[in-house]
Amino acid sequence: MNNAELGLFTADNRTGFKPGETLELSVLWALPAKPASLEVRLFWFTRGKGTEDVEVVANETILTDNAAGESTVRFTLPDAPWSFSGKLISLLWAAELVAEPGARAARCEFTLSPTGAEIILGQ
Amino acid sequence: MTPARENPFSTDRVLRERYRFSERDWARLRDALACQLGRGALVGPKGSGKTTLLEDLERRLTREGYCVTLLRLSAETPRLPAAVNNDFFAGLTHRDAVLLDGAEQLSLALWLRFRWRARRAGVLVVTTHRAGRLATLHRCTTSPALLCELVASLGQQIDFADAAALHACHRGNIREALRELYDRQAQKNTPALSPAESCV
Amino acid sequence: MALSVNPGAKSFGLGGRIVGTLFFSVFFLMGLGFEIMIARQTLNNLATYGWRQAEAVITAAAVLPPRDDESDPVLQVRYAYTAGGAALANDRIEAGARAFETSDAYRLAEHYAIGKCVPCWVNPNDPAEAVLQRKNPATALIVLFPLIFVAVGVIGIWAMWRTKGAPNADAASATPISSRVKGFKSGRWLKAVFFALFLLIGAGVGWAIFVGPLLRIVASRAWIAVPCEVVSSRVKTHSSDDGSTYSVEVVYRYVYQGRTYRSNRRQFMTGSSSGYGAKAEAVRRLGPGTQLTCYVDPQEPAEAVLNREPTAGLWFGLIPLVFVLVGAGGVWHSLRQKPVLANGMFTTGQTTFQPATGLSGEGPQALQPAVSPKAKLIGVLLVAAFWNGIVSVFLYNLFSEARHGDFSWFLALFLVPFVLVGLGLIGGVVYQCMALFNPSLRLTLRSGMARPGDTLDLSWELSGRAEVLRRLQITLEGREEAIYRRGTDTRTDKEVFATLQIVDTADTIAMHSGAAKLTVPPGAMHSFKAKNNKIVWVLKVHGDIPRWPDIKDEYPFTVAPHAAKTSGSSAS
Repeated sequence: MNNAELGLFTADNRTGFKPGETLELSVLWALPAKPASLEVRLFWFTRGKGTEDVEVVANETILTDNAAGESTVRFTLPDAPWSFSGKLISLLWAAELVAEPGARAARCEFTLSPTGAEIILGQ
Repeated sequence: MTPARENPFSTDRVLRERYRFSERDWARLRDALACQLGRGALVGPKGSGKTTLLEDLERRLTREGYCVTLLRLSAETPRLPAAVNNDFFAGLTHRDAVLLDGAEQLSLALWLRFRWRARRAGVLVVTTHRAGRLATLHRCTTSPALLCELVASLGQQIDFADAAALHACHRGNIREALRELYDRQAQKNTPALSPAESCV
Repeated sequence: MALSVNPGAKSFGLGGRIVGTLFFSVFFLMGLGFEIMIARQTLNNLATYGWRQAEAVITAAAVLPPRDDESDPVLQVRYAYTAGGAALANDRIEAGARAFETSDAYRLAEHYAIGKCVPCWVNPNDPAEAVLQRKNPATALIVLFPLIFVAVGVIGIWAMWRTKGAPNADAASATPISSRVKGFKSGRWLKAVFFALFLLIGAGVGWAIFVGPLLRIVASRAWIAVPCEVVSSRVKTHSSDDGSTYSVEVVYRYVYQGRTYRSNRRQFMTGSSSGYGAKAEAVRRLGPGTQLTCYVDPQEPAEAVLNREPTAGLWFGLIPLVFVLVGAGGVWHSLRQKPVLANGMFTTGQTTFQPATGLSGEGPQALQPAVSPKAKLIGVLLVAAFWNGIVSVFLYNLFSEARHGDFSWFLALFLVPFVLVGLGLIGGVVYQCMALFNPSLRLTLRSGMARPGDTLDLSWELSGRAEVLRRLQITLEGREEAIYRRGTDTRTDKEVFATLQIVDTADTIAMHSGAAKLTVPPGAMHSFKAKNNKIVWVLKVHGDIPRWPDIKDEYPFTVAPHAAKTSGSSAS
């Protein structure tokens, strides 16, 4: 899901990654004015029947004087937690590009697991 | 099995649904609040939308220029946080709004103390299960029709009879009704249907 | 509780900050003032530890009677010593105290008998300054107390002026998900310090009012019974803001090994209570000239007591035990917590996964049940005691009134459900008591940690009444646990997604001890724990015992993820 002014893409549009792999992200921004801050965050979050949990595991600030531009950010993915889905809980990984002021964001979701695919509980 | 992230009744989707209030209802509520000198209670049983309405009120008050502080109490944490101290209350002015979710968690003595200390705030609105703490601003009620409407907003369908049975079974607690719908959906092998159909 | 602050919310404003700063400055300044005073006094007291020891000869000693009902007797001592070649005299007993008012005056007077040689400590800078006693260095700890107020003041002022971080965004709005981090810091050290204070206070007070007196009571069994005569008796008044309490003080005289001593110790437990009448009556019975028996320490004849038995007041000394238990339990529990909940089960960048609590990951590991049978019994016992304790008060009232012909049907009917619950709890206690006699199962794993796809050797051994077991089942269970918090409600849902039978046997020998292979499914999800969502793996044991509580235990089991490289980032 990408905002028209912000773009965040994985290399080759990959969506499945394994622990320890490098996540390379292409960052694009075109804002009305120079952003006060531009940050890419690597995080996981939960969905389902329980209250949401969110944890940012790494972040990278992009220093720029321009209202528009592009950059590349790389993260070494941690060994866990893995992406999974059960009846009650799903854990998803994502990277988010956040521009201030205004908390504009663009998000790119992906799967992290030993196989690169989401683990389905009970299967 | 429908994975949790695809379940239309997952928490994040349900929390996006706001309280069913028209602009006229909002105007009426604001008028009542003004008549009650900025004091009022949102009253209703569990799962009737009090917290949701309070959050919507928070946004409205912020847009009106109030400095809003939203406090939440629960059975697990029935005490005010340390940050809500003498200095906090001493700094309140008529441009401040204090919203307290779960006022019944405070004992009568603590509630009276809280109300007295917040007297300088321009707005004090609380949620309670029963009337009494402050003059009732709005009574939150639920109905099978409301459940139908919410389910439709979440992109699903439910017939009215089923909604009525669910509503009755959970004694009007929409939150629990939606959680039961979550469980039902989770058991299904097919993904959730996207188009909504009106209640029959 | 979540203090949810709207992005446009106040940060106290300049006026608020000034008011807040002034408020906390009062704490800071008062704390600082007391700190300086106490520190100065403490330094004076401890300065005597740098003084030179000399020998003093007691030239005069007297115990003056109390000035009034609230005062203690006053010990006056004069002694002579030599310092720097000069003969000097002094009457100071402790630093800062000339007139030594103490309830121990009579005992100390024997210690400082006329003509006796005792050590004294002389100020090398001013030999005219000397003391007979030096204060216990542990009293220097009191200098820490005002620091609490100083800390409150400093922290409060800092909190006024620090800039706040980004407020929590509302879950229903379109704000970035990554901005909704709520932070799950365990703060375990802060908790441990907090509980350690409980422990220290409980231990200190418990020692003073229970352990200390109890040790003296035990030691006094070897003391010699000696006849004594009451010299004087009075009701001593202890005044406080809440009113006055009273105690009985008796001064008695006894002769031991040809020497006459005086003492005013009645019993080892000190304390006062309300009720002047009873004390006045005791004083009347213990008038001057009354002949009594006292018990004298043969090692220290100046030490004596009239009543060496434990008194009812001693048992109040058990109250601090609650603080000790709460404090010790809190410290242990706080430090047991892993500080690793920032990222599911481990912090960012960590490459090795921690095994479950109590397991080292290497070599055979004995698993512990989540809740031991004793803990279950204690838990249900406490609840039953609390519940039935309260209900019994009302029942006693009901029957007491019924005996006087005034039976309240309304109260009786009202109490019925509470009594039924109480009986159920008693039944629960009986059930758990019976379960204590169950055979005990010891589960051992070859390794304390497993990863998906691993096969581990699991062995078990039953001890106790193993012959009563009819069937033993051990299963590996994986389940989701999701907590939903909204409004004033908290709900926990659980869903089992994996059940793997490891052992299911009715063979007597196999049940008594055996081994099996435990294979974690290759595609399984590892253990995971966040504030509201968890993936939990457990070994469930069910032992069927006819006509007796079954064995039903869960043994937490950790499934670790496969190791990978550390995380990091780079931008270009």
